[in-house]
Amino acid sequence: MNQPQVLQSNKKEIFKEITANADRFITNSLLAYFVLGIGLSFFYGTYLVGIAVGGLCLVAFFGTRMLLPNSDLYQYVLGGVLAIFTAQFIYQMHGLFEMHFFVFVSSTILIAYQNWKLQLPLILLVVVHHALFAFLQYSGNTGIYFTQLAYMDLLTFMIHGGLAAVIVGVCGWWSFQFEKRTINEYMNSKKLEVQLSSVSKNIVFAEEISKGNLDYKNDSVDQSDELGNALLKMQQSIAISTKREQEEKFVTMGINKISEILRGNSSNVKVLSEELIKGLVKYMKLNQGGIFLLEGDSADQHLELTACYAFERKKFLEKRIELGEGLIGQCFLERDIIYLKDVPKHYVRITSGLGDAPPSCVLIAPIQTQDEIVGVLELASLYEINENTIEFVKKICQSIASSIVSTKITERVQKLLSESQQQGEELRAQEEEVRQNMEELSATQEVMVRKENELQERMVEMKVNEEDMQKVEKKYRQLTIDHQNLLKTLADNKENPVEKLTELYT
Amino acid sequence: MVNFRSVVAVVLLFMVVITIGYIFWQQELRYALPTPVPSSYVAVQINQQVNLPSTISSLKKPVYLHFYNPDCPCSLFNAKHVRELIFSHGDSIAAFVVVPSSLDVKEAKKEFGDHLQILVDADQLLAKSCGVYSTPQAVILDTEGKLYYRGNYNRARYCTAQATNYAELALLAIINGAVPPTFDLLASKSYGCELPTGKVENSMSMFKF
Repeated sequence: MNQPQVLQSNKKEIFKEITANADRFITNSLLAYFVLGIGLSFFYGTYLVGIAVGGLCLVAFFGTRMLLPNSDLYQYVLGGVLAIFTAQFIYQMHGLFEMHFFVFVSSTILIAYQNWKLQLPLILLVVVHHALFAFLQYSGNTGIYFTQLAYMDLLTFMIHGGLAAVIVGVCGWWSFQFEKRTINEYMNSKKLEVQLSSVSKNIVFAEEISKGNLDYKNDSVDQSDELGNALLKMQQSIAISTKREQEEKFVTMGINKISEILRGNSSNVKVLSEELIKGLVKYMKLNQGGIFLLEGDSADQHLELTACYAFERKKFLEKRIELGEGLIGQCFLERDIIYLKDVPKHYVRITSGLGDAPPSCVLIAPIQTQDEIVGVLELASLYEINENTIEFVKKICQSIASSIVSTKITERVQKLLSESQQQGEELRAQEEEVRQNMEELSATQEVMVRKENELQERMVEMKVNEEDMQKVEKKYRQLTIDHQNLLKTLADNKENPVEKLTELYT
Repeated sequence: MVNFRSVVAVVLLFMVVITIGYIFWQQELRYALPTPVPSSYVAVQINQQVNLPSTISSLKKPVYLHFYNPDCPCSLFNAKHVRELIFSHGDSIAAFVVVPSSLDVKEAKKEFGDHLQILVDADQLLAKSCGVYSTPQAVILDTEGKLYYRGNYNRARYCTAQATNYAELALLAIINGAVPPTFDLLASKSYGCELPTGKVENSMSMFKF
C-alpha cells in the first residue's frame, strides 16, 4: 500500500488519536490566547477588542469544529484564528514589536495537527497584512504603517518577512515530517500486524503440516511472506513425497495382497480368478471387474470369462469372447492397456439394488508375462482411475499371468497326478482283491485242512468210537449175558432174590 | 449535495470575519486615514491669534493643549507620550488636557493624573479656535496667545518615531524661544478620531471666552 492510498483511505484512522490530542492542546492554547487577550486589554484599555475579537475567534474555531467535526475545516480555521489573535495582540500592545512573535508561537502550535497545510491560512493572513502595509509604505504613501518602528526600510522588511517565512517554513516542514513519520509508523504497525498475523497463521499452518494435514490451505500467504512461502513449498514437497509414498505403498501393499491371493489359490484357476477379481476390485475401490482367460486348443482359442465381480447378468452370460472380438479381444491381440474415460452410455452399467449408473471409466489390461498372454482383465469404475492405479494394474497383471500359467501347469499336473493316483488306487484295489482272494483261498485251504484234520480226528474218534462201540457192544453182550444170567438166577431164586443179588454183586 | 452544517459553518465564519474586520476597522484601521475635514472647518494659521478663554490667556507661559477623547483609541495610543511631555516640560509650559465632555474628565484624570488641569470643551469652541477637529491633537500657543503649533504628535500612531515627535519638537522650540518650526504635511494633517458631537452634558463648559 503506497502513501497516497493510505492518505485517502485511512488518514482519519491514522490521525484519530493525534487529532484528539491536538484538539485538547489547541483548546487549551486558544483559551490561553483568549485569556491573554483579556490580560493585554488592561495595558491600553482594549477590552472591546480583547473580548470581542478573542471571543469571535473562539466562536469561529469551536463553532466550525462542532458543526463539522469530521472535516479538517476547523483546523484550517485555526490557522486564521491564530493569525487574528496575533493581530489582536499587536493591536492591544500598540504595535509592540515582540507581539509579532506570536506568529512564531502560533506556527509552532499548528504543528500539533501534523498538517503542513494548516500553516497556509496563518501565513496567508500575515502575508496579506504585511503586503498591504508594505504596498502602502513603499508605494509613495508617507504614512507609518509598521507599528513602533519609525520607518521600516525595505531591507528590514525583507529580513522580517524572510524570518517569518523561515519559521513558518520550518514549522510546516516539521508538520510534514511528523505527518510522514506518523503514516510510516502506522504502516509499520500495520505491516507488523500483518506479519504477526502471518506468523500466527504460519504457526497454525506448520502445526497442521506436522499433524499430517497436507490439504490445509493457508490463503494468507503472499509474496512478501517468506516463511509462509517456505512452509507452502515444504507442504507441497511433503505432499508430493507423501503422495509418492502412498502410491508406492498402494502398489506394494497391492502386490502383497495379490501375491497372497496368488499363493493361497495356486491350485485352481477358477478359484484363483474369482479371488483375484474380488481382491483387485475391492483393493482398488473400483466397482466392476472381470477376468477373461485364454481357453481352448490351438484350433479353437477364445477368451472365457473365468471370474467376475458385480457384472451384469447379461454380460455374465456372455462368457465366451473370440480373439479380436470387441475391446477385450482387441486388447488381447494388441497386448496393451485400453483405458476408456468417455464410456458410452449403454456400454456397461454398474448396478445396485437401488439403481444403476454407467461407469466413468473402463480399464482393460492384458494379463501377460513377457512371453505369453493368458487373458484379459477388465475393470470399471464410477470414478476416474489414476495413473498410479493403472501402473499397479500393469505390474500386477504380470504376476497374475505368471501365477495363472503356473496354476494351469499345477492344475494339469494335479490332474495327471490325480489320474495317476486313481490308477494306483485301482491297482491297489485289484491287488487287495487278489490279496483278499488269496486270503480267502488260504482260509479255505485252512478250513479244508482243518476239516480234513477234523475228519481225521473224527475218523480217529470214529475208530475209537468203533472200538468203544465194540467194547460197549461186547460189554453189552456181556451185560446181556449177565442179564440173562441174572434173570435166570432170579428165576431160580424166587424166595430170596435180594440176598442172591447182593451175593452176586459183592 | 451541500451539507446544511457546512452552509451554517461557512455563514458563521463569514459573519465572524466580517465582525472582526468591522471591529478592527472601527478600532484602528479607519484611523490610519486622515480624519475627514468638517465642512465648517476654518483653518487657523501659525502665528494667528487664537481666541482663548481668560483662564488661559492670562497665563504668562506658553500653553500646551492636549485634545483628548477617552473614547478614541488613537488618544490612548499616545497617552504615554503625552504624559512624558507634560512630565518633562511641565515647568516651562502650562499644560492642559482638553476633553469634549465633562463625562470624560474622570477618565482624563485617571489617564494623566489628578494634578493636571482638565478643560471641558463641550461646544468645541476651543477646538475651533485652534483649528482642531480630531483627537489626539497638540496645540501650542505662545505667551501672546498666538498659535505656535497645531498638529499630530508623531508620524507613527504610537509616537515611536523619534525623528517625527512633532509636538515635542515644537515644545522644545517654544521653550527655547525659537520661531515656530516647519514640519511636513504629516504634522499638520489631522489623523485620529473626529471630535464627538451631541454628547450629553451634565455640566456647562468649565470655561468661557
